[in-house]
Order: sequence, then structure tokens, then C-alpha cells
Amino acid sequence: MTENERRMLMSNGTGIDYAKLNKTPRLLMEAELMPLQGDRFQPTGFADLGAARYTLPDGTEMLLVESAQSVANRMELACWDEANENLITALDGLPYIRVHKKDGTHLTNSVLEAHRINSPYILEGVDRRVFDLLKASVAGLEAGPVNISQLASLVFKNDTNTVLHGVFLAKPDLAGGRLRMSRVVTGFIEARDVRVAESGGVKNDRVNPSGDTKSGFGNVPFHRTEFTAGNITAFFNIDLALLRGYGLPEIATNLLIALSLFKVRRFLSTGLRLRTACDFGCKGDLKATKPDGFVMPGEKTLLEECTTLIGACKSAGLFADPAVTVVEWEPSAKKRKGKETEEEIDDEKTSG
Amino acid sequence: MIGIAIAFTSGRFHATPWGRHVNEAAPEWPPSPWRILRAFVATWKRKLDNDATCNPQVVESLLCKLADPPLFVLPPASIGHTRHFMPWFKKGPTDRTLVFDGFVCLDKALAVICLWPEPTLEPQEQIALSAITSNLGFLGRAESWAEARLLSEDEAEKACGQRNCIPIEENNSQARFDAVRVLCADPASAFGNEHTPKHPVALYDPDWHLCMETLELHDKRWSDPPGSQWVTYLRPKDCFAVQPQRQRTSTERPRPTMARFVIDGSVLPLMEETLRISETARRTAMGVFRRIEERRLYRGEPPKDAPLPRSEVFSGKDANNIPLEGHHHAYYIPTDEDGDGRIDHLTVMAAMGFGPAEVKALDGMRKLKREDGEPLNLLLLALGQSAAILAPLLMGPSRIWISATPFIATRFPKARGQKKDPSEILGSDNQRAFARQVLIEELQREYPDLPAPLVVEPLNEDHRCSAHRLRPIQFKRYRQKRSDDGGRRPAGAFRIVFPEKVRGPLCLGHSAHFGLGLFVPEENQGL
Repeated sequence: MTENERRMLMSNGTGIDYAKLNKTPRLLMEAELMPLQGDRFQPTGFADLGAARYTLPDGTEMLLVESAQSVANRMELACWDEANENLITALDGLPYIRVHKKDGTHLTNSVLEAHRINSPYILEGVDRRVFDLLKASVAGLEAGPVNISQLASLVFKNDTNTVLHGVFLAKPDLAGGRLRMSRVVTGFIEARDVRVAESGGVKNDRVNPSGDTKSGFGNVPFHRTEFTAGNITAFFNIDLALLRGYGLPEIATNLLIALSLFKVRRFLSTGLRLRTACDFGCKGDLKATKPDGFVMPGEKTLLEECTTLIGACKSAGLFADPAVTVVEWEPSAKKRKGKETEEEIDDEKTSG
Repeated sequence: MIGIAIAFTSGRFHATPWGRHVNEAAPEWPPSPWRILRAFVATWKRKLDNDATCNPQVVESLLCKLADPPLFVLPPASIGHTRHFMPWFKKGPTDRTLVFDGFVCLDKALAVICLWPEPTLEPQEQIALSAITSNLGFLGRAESWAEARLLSEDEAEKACGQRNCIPIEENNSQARFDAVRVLCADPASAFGNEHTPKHPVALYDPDWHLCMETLELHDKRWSDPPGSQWVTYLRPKDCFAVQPQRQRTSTERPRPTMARFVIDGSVLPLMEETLRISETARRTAMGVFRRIEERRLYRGEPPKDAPLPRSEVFSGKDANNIPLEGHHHAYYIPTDEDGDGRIDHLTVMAAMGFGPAEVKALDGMRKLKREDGEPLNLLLLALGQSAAILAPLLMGPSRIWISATPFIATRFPKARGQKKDPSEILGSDNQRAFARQVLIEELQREYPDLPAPLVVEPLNEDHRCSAHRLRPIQFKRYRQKRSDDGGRRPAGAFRIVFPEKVRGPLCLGHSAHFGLGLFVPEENQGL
């Protein structure tokens, strides 16, 4: 690619002010949301806890509507075409890893897996090609400090999405389990000044109201707890300093920025039906709160920019060839016996 | 003096103190200086490794100056936690483990300030530290978004006067403080490398004890990271106290005026049984109230001659058993809200409001015991101000209201005297017309704030109402008390048309407190 071509690629025609973002450590964005119908909504239910309510020091009642983990999953889903079991067409060419069953049908992939490239379906099966690829690529990292740029290039090459959402390859065979990349893009949704909206009803069994409820018969009164809120806000954070710190080529960094922004936009435009009784719309537009004056490009612009930059990265040899790596899932013999062996009991998990 | 302000832009600080299990959800507060220094090293190496302002010797020098335990200015905070199932593949690809995520909540705009009173920074160190702090993305878990900055000398001096979390050696009074162990760097060994892994070359860059990985520490069974030390800090006792700010609205919470229940049972009662169900509900409410109050007052069996606790709201009578004036005491309103002709909801409402004991009693109502059938189950759906409760089938608003249960006249026709009724509504053939007249009177008397109705007319030729189109005579109209004559009074089913939408509920006539004389919006055919 010539210098002129590169300059044209990053001209203002893209709608993304990369120059402004280059000078700032982070991009903070927020969007105000509202229930599409009525005022009530159902937040994430946490194990044992139900709704995650907490109180600010000034007494304001808060509610975590959607956690960072869940928003990350939804932003990954924003790039995925469920019907075709593939990335959306405009992102064709972006590297990722597919996992197929023995019959060749799609099982899962690194975009949708909770731990991305670190998914056990990718690294723990009989098919070791991705594991071996990683091991060979990080062979030089076993001794000495981890070269984070080398790791970032490797992950960008094979599973670009993972660079944005982070990974922790805690495998002793891979550089002693020290390979980790923090999240670059994070988001969460919280509601402020919440109040409870209780309702309920009875699931009627007109045939036998006294039937065995455990089997699904009988009348079952139920209670439903939903919430109303003074305001509901989705917050997003892109750690630009971390991205720059990876030392990737400029087109790669720009692709990651454009892809991050696209994920946020797409999540807000198509992914806000979080659960049955929780369907949000945006009240107003997504806006950047830091840096000042950054104009948020629209979804279409961002997607076009992603398509362009994917082509550029491919031409520059930054992606695996082919872009999509396929592994076949078959549990390894050791794991098949997993139930018979004693699992290790962890020491206390502490952070330091 | 060196001062650093760290604001948590997500409003939460997620971190587990060293030595505690993550599932204790114990909050780390203040943020441990050990963690802060490690975060600075990570920021330097991940984001500024090639930055000319962050020369390794300069960074090491400034970090050494920050190795002493700092003082803190902690903003007001509270605590919370979530729990989720995290995939971890111990037993297979679908294996999950329950993980608690404890966090400290604080105002996004208020920063934690760390102060080191003794050292000063050289110009190069200032530039480097400024770069590092401004590039700090998070502190603790990745959810703890952070923005840090280096304070000016003046700002640091001013903040020092507000310090509220300090090492215990400062001999401050402990009356208002809790002692808490905080993991800090040991200036003498934090930047050493005696115990850092070398295979064969150093694995960490920089090769410091401060940089040792948690997994490495667990593997080598370190109880505390080498290079660290525990320092006991004094932290305000009320550091997590929620101190609500004064609200604009009245601080006195209004009493709830409505309770809504769903009724369930093997066979739901027919709408004809409205009066019976209401009376049972009233007895139940009074009974639960009495038991609760007896437990509270007497802590066991009440003395023989002790007065029975009675609720004026539920009973409608005062302590001398005299009926209360006005209609501010409880109405017990059974309704059929799915249009099958059977009672499936109960609303208890009282304009005078339910006190704390009544609220407990309503919350404690679980069953309606009946003499002529199996008990009905009650599930409390809502308790609060009637205006705040969603019940359009009962409350409207609507212009047109129709009888859900028959309206029963509150008086008999006057055939003689000064207040004699017109002849066209006297006599046995004109009982419906008389009932209509009394309905108009009741509307004016009981709902003076409502606009005068445009039309008050029979609902239909036979005055049938409810889903099963029942005539008034089919409803039970005699209360279970000796003197009641509700069954003999003129009754009918009517339609009332107002000039504008009005809010309900509308309960009029004899036994209105027991579900008779209930009017509902005409749109709600279910009733």
C-alpha cells in the first residue's frame, strides 16, 4: 500500500476523527435509554440475588440493569449473523475461529464463546491446531517478560475480536500461563432512582386447578418484580491508550477503533431487547463525554470503515490466511474422564 | 508532597482485598497502595513503554517515592455486590462456578485522594507520573473504570487537611474509626528481585517483587506477596453509611391506602358471593391484626380481661364499638378481572390509610377460610397509595361506569312527610326508579368532587350485571349480622355517564364497603 493510499484511507471522509482520538487515553460514551413501552423493565437477574440493587452514599437507589460481562456478550453478538452462522457480511474477512462438529456443521466459534480464543472448545479438544499455532507463535515468550506487542499481533491476526474484549490464556504450556490482554471496550447499563413495580397473576389450569404443579399442572400464583427508574443510561469505555500500547500498525489500530464504535452503535440500534420484559430504545443519540468535541459517527459510516480497513489489513498481510480457522470439536481423552477424577480445589482466589 | 486523585468513572470500585476469597465479596477500602503501585507499573509497561517521558530510571525513582503508605481522603461510599455464574471448564465445557463481585459505590465525580506528605518529585518524575496517571484505565477489576491525575502542590496541601484514612501510627483517636489492614509496598524490598521467577532470565519487566503475578504467588504458596507489608489504617466507622440527602417532597411518607391481592383456589367463588367473600376478608384482616398486636403487646397469651386489639381501619368502628363517621375506613372489594364470572382479585382500600400494624396484617393475610368451601389463597400484589397502583379495571379513568355488582339503596322510599319522595318512584313497581334516584343522591353526597353525571340509566332492561349477567336478586345481599336488611332494599344495575373521565373506584350504596354497589369502567367487559 502506498503512503497516499494510506492517507486516503484515513482521511476525514471516514467520519472518524482518529487524530482527536490519538491524543486521548480513553473514549467515554453514554446513551440514555427508556423502556419502549410503558415505564417498567426487568433487569438482569443475578444468581441467588435477583436484581442487583445498591444504594449510593447519598441514598439514591441504583440498579445494575446489564453487567459488563453481559454487555460484552451482546457487543460480540452485534457482529454475528445468527441465521447464517457467520459474521455479518460487511465484516467478512475479519479473522476468527470456528468450531465444527465431526459432521462439519457449526458448533460454536470464538466470537460467541465466553472466553473467545481461550474457549475450551478451541483449545481443549483433540484438534490441537489452534493450540499448536499459539504455542509455536509464543515460543519465544516462555523465557523473559511477555512481549505484549507480539501477543497482540498474534491475537489480532487470528481472532481480531479478542483484542477488543480481552483474553487470559492461563495455560502453563503457553508462556507459563502469563498471556493476558485486558478489555479494550467495556460497557454497562445502570438505572438511577429506581422504584419497584410489583405485579403478578395466576397461571390457570382450567382442567385441574389442583394438579401437580411440579409437572406443570395446577394453578400457580406468581409474583413479578419489575422496576421503574428516573433514568437509565448505557455507558461505554474504549481504552485507547491500551490499544496504542499494543504497537499494532496504524490501520490495525484504526480498525479496532472503528470496530469498537460499530459494536457500540449496533448494540444500541439492534440489541436493546435484553430480555422479554426489558426492551429499550435510545432517548436521544449516543454521545461522547470524553474527549470533548468528539463527534460520534453513525452506524453505517462505521460499518463501511470497518469493511475498508478489513480489506486494507488483509492486503497488508496482518490477518491469518484464510481468515477463518476451523477446528473440529472432539473431547480429548483426559477430559472425557473428567467426571472420574478428583477436581482440584482452588486456593483462595485473590487479586493483587 | 505528592497527591494523586483517582475518580471511578463507572461509579464503582471492584477489588478483592489480598487474603480474602473473592466469594466473601469483601470490599477493599481504601484501595490498597500495593494495588495502586502495580496498576501504575502495568499502565507504564502496557501503554507508555516507548514513551520518552517514562524512562525506566525515572519511573523507578518516582515509584520508590510512592512506596511509603500514603494518607487517604476517602469520599462517601456504600457497598453492593452481584453474583454470576462464570464459565471455568473444571468439569467440562459447560461447567460454571458462582462468583461474587463485591464493589464499593461512590459518586463518579468524587475522587479517592492519595497523599504522600514527605517526598517531592523532580520535574522529570512529575511529567512521568502525570503521563502514567492520565493513562490509567481501571483500578482493580476491569469494571472499575478510573481516571487519575496528579494534583498540584496546592491541591495536595488542601486535600491533606481533609484526610480521613491514615496509618494507625499517627496516634489519632480511634473512637470514630475502624482499624483495617491494608496491603502496602515495603519500600525496602518492593523493588527487589530475590524471589522473582527466572527461567533462566527474569520473567518480569521490570523484575520487581511488586510485579509478581498472582498465579505465581499461589503456585509458590506465598501467603503475602514478597515486597509487601501490612499496614493498619484507621478508616471512618461510617465510611459505608448511606446518608440520604434531603428530598424535595415531604419527608413524611404517606400511609398506603390500597392493597391488592390475587385470589386462587381449587374452585373460585362466583360473583354472587361478593358479599360473603368481603365479609370473610374483613374478618380475616381483623383476625390477623389482632394476633399481630397481641404478640406485640403481650408477647404471648393476652391476660383474660385485656381488651382485644382492634383496627379502626379494618373494622370501621372506634374503640367503643361505635361506627366511624364518613367512609374513610376499609372497603373490601372482590372483583372478577378475567371475565369468567368468578372472583379472582380482592382490593382492600381505605382513605384514612393503613398504619404500620395494618400493613403488617395485610402482608400476613394468606388465606380466606370459608365455612362452605375450601380456603382461598391470597397473594399480595401491591400495597401503596391508590394513585400509584395500576388497576385500570377498577380505577379507570373513564367517562362511563357500569354496575359490576348491584347498587342497593341506602334508604327506603318515603311515602309521607316533608321529605316525601315523588310518586313516580314510589310503589313496588317503581323500585328500580327509586334505586336510581338514591344512586344520584349517593353520588352527590359521597363523591362531591366528581362532575354531575350526564346520564344515570338502567344498565339494561332486567338490570343484569357481571359476566354471567346476573339479576340483583341472584347476588347474596344479606350480611351475616342480625339486623341487616340489605336483601329487602330496592336494588338495580345502572350506567353512569360523566361529562369527562373520572377516576375510580366508585363504590356506592348499602354494603358498599363489602363489594356491592361497585361501578367499573364500561370498557372493561371482563367485569
